Amino acid sequence: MKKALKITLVTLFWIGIWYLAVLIYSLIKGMDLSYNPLFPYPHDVIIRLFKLLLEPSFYLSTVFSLLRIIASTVIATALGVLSAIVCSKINFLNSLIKPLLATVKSVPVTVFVFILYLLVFDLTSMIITILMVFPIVFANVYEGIKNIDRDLLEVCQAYKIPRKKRIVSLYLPTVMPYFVSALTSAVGLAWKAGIAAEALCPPENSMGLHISLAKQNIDNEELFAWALTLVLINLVFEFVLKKIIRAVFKRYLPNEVRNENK
Amino acid sequence: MKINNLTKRFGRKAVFENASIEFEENKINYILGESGSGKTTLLRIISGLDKSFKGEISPQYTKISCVFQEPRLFPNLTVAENIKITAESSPYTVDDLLKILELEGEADALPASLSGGMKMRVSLARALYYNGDLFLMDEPFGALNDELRQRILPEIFKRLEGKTVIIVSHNVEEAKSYASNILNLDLINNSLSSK
Repeated sequence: MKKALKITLVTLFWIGIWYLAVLIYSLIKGMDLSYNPLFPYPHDVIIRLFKLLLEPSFYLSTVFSLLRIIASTVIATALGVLSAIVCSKINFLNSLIKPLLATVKSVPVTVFVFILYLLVFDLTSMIITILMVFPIVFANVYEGIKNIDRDLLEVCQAYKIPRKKRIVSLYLPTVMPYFVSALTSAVGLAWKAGIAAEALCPPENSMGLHISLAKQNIDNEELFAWALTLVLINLVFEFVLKKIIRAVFKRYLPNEVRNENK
Repeated sequence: MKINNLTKRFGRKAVFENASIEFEENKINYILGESGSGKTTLLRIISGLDKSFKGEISPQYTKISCVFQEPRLFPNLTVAENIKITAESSPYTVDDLLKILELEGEADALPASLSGGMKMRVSLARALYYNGDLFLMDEPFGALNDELRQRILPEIFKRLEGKTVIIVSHNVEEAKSYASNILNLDLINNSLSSK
């Protein structure tokens, strides 16, 4: 109950700020205070969102974008984890992968989108998502592996503890908090980068296509409605992801992560 | 058990220089010596954890129970799981070991909730559960108070009968009470340096 009240108050606070911002903007620009098509009021955006909800293309685009981003995130996560394991064993491979990570870190997403636009138009958003998620998962899991307690490794060595037991009792509990932290930040980034790539290089049936069209038509109400949709989907996505992680890997997580938002 | 012509260096500093050390098999051996005399290094060499040395060890034991200077427990495993991780089966049950080490009721506890002394006793229980042919123990009773030591040490040594046991300690009285063979590393090092 306390938590629900807190969420309601926080939501109301930010809706209030939104109203105030529109009001101030309208006053400065000398525009109509009751309706602003460039910087719409929250109630206008919600009405537009309800209108979008009545269109079948809304669901089709949302589902396809969602599937693209989930698939790319899964691929990037698998690649990140595997590469981190291999690179932690072979130092040379770690040196080999560093330039790729440095490039992804320093080059803006837009540049990658423009390059991929000409090479693999339809796959642009997926590749961008992979490029954004992979380094985060890789770096965190690699760091986790490197932080494995050397003393406990010696215990495993002294008692000849089998590999499977070592993984379950030592590797997973050490690496899992790093992995969870990577995944939660990577998911948010996957959304942002994936949809941005879709908007710049829009495939059929995508949220990016609608955002791109709304921008071309200077339909800011629809832009805001899509942005709101993204926020809501991301919140649900993160919530579901945390539940899944906690259910599957519960025993490998430290107590503070296990009990977070219980 | 013999270690012949043992040479071990850390950079330029030699901890052992062509030393020969003998332990009594199937008996309790105590190693005494000042800090830095190489007691822990010697245990690490015998256990196979340190392979960067010259010399020969015979016979080579393959099943070794180790008690390290620190408890070295897996933080995410309960006390019972920490004990059972070393072996699929054992002549001892976890409950028996917890009883003799006065840890009854702690089977499901996580290491973080235990005191330093309790953690060390779990580490001892783990070594006993593994039931190695050779026991290497680095100051295993240092964290125990005198009363507890008097109660549980006879129980532990009863279960070590017939095993080759090498214990590193600073406690001369304890060594005199339980050891068949006491090795003073300071004397070995002094005789080597005077040669």
